[in-house]
Amino acid sequence: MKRRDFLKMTAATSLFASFPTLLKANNDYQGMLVVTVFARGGWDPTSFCDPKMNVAGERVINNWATTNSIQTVGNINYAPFADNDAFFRAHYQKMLVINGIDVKSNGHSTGTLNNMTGIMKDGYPSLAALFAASNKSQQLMPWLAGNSRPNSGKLLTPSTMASRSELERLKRLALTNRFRTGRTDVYLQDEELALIRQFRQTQGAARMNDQQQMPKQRRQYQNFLASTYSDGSFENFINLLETADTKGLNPNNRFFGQAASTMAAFAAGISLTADISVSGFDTHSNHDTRHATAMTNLTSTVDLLWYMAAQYNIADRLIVVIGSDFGRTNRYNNGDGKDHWSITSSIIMANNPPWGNRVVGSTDGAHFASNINFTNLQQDNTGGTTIEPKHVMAAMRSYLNIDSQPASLKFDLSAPSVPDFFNPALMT
Amino acid sequence: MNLVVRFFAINLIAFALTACGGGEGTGGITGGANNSNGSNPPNSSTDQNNTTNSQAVMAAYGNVKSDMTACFGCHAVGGIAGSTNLILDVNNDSFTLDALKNYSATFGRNTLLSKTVGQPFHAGGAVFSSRSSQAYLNLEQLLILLESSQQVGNPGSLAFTIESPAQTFRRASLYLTGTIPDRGQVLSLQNASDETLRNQILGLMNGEGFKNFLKNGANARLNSRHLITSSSGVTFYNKYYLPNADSAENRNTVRRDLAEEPLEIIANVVMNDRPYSEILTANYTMVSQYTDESYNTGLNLAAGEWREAQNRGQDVKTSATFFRDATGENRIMDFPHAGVLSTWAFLSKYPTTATNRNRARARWTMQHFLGFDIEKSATRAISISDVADEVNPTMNNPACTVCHQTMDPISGAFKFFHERVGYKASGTDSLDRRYRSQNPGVDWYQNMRPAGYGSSQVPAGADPLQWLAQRIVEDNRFAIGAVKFWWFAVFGEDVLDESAPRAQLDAQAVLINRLANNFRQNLNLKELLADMMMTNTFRANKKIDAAQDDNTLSVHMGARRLLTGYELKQKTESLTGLVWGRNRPNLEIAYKLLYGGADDVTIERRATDMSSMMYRVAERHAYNMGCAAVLLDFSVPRSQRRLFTEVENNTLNETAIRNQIVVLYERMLNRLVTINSVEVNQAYQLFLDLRQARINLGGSTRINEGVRCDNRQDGGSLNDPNFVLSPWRGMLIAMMTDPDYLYE
Repeated sequence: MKRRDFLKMTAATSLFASFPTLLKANNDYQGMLVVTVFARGGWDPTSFCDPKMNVAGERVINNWATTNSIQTVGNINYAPFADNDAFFRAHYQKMLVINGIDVKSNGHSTGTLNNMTGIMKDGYPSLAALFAASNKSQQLMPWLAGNSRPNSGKLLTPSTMASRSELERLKRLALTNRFRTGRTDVYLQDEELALIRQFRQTQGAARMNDQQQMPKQRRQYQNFLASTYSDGSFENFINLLETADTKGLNPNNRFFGQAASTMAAFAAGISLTADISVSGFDTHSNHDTRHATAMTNLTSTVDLLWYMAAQYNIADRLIVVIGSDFGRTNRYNNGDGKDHWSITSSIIMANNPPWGNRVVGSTDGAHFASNINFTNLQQDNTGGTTIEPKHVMAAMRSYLNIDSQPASLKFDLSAPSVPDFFNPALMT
Repeated sequence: MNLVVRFFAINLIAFALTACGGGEGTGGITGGANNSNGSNPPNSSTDQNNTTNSQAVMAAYGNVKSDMTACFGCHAVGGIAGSTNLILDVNNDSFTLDALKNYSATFGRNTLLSKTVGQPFHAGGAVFSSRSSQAYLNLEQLLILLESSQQVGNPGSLAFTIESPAQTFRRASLYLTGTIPDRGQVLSLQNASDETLRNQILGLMNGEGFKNFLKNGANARLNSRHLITSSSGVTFYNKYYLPNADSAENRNTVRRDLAEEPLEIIANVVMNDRPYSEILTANYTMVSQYTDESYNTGLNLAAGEWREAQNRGQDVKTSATFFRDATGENRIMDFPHAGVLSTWAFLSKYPTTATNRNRARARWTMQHFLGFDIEKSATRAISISDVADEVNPTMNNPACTVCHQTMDPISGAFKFFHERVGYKASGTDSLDRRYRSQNPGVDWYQNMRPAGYGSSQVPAGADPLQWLAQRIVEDNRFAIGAVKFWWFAVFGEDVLDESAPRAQLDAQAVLINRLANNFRQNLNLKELLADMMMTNTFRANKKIDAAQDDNTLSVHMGARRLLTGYELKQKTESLTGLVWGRNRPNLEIAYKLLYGGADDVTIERRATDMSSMMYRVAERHAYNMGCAAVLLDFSVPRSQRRLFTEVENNTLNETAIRNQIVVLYERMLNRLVTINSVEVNQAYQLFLDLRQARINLGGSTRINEGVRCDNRQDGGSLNDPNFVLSPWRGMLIAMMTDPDYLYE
């Protein structure tokens, strides 16, 4: 059903109560597009954006530090590890690095939950889910989720992140009534199709508006009706996905594929947020080799996001948030691995924002978090506060202008003090 | 009732104005099914829906019964309205009250009351003189009492109706067997007692369909099919695997069946009515044609066959290169099975390392089989100084011991299973190489709690994993774990988390405990599944008071959930005889992930609600199947049809078409509607409009004029001289893309 038909059909119903922004066209949305990239398993910031040298007389923190030293580009330090050099040099002006975040957990589930939602209890939405729900747009698939168990807060339903490897099937889904791409034979004539879709919407809307429905069933009907919109943007998405220039990276790779799909979906106007995950970081053994592989996958994925954003002319709207479960120990274990460490970092990226090329928060030489004065962002180990995920989340909500939206208010973070991370004049 | 009589009855009910009720009837109830109802009146014996004998209800019934004489005359087995959705029995009060209650719950109190005064349509005309008549008011009072009587399961808190036994049975059949029962069987249970319904549900639990339910349900938790998705990771080193599985294709075949192994163990226990505890305590595993060779069983099984067996293929080579080289010295070891826990699929899902030391295996063992999430149990902030503590914090630091004192003994019980899964990799233990070299003569980390369970240690001589399995199944929480384990398979969502409304959390806790207490008596999973399907959580239909705050409801879900790709495929096959992609079902393979399926690696939990992408798959499915389904059904006599039982390929009679639409709503959507309802009016108009659209198209009179007709099986003419098949094709497509087709 075309959107205008749907609107016409539902004009007399209370459907608008559930979808108040239906009157807004897809391409009306010119706001921010948010991607979180999660390094699944717990990354090692000391080999990334919070580099640490070894200390004489202490156990080795990083093997790379025995032969190399911390690198700097702009105001940002990084470790000479994996493909960091190319990544930081290409993107440092986009970055706000937040170091010294205390996750207060070293369990994967709890650490992930805390970083994704800003709180250590179930039921809260991820930043991406919250942003999608708060912007109440009518994108076909407002929130893409490529991770295993997305945190929805029951605000909206995540959509599977389509893979480029499924392109042929996606093409058929773009034109469901067409036998095959490039063919004109159809399953239903246009008039038949319109009649059936109208009928289905009418009956579905009536059931949704039945106030006696149980809560879950009402939500099912809402989701169903929302999923039936068809306005050509999905077809555009498939076309963009097929023709995407992925900078030579294999779009069928599960990590790069997520990035390519996300950017095509953003450009087509069918999505506005995505949770991407890159796995392989839980390196309890053979840390250096395995972590380098994972880190290269991560930086390549983020690099691809920006490359494609420029290609689709949406770079100025893109916000990328990079994080992980937690950090890794400031020493190697007997298997040359690193175990769980509750201090981590996060990187916020935008297209050369005034707040870019900055580092806030800090850790000491052994990767213990320093306390920070939340007003001037200076280190203050006596009167300052340790940065926690809830502070990062609260700051992000504020920056994305969703902190006063009903969905945010419903999921209070109990973070009365929000650090001024985005003030260009402040740096730790 | 034979076909002629049935057809006659339908039309008679539809057209004749007699002295008694009817009008919503569509026929189709078989004589045998009705006799079953008549001769086996309900016996309300369980704790829900069991109130029809209450004093107030009986008093109210006594006030109106004598005024219902006309109703009893027609709405009886064999009566003129005997094929409607309301069957009464003047000699069986309990049966009649249940019938009134179920009708009212399904169609609404006002629908029933309106018919008594001949509105909006009642073939029996007005039975009561007016809405202000005493008889009318007495019946209204009775229906109100019957509605409230449904709340007795949770006195004072239930505020919703319960779906009819027939609807519950139909859904249970779809979930448990992958089939929609035939119409007669469904309708025969319309007024069934709870006891009858429960027994009928139990009767569904056999055959290949039930086995698939068990395996799919278990995999939704264990994700053991990760082996199918991921070709990397740990490698299977059984001696007879590498030499025999000499190609990638063969190895993948073996991996596929290794993924099924824990699921087959569970299915084997349940299907054979053995105590559910055996899923962990079984001193055997299940092998197939493809794994029996690797396990050196000597069984030589046939394709598709699974049998209990011992793993005699576990081989350890003495060289320092682990047991990678299967051609080395043969040291076949006895392999102590511990049901699911010792399977390669389970162990490799939770890999371990020299520092993880089986803790993931312990964490998920507790989660899956005790319903205990240890991470959530102690979710609290810990200090970095605790994390940095190097003086054996898991043994000494309270911030760590809070979890590790519970977790680590269980980790120890897995001590003989190496990070590469193999059993006793070194011949005597599975320690990491460095630790072993530094600590000769030990079989577990000495700076860690010894293998055990709680404060008990594994006794000398016992196999630790087998001993652990026995302790787990003796734990009271094992029953709770079973309820939670199967919750997703039955209810289609996870157990509520702490963000849910208090009323629902409290009710859920009570329900889980009640189910677990019953289950603990005999550890029969079939009984547990039946109990779960008899609950309000499974059967809640609609709120009684539309204005009631959702947060005050004790149950939030209703009696429908999104069907999985497999279930949707099964439903369509059951209703039409056709599968989209017969040899490689599209909903299970090509479009599995796009339809919200899990791959058990990146996506561990399938989608529970519809997205735009998924809906497009559903559309594609319907478009591909609609035409062929119509042709196939019309190619056989009406008595053999699955769907089109009320019309022929030239039928243009409005009543017949409306009756057919009612049947389609019931068969396709599990919705009971009346022939003059708004929904049927709209559907009838759709039929007319689709027919006109086809006529407007001109051209030949073949159904595939201008459109494709894929997936056709043998039989079924494409000729549609009366332009009747074409609109039915469109109607089926409309039904197959209806939310109630996709959610059931």
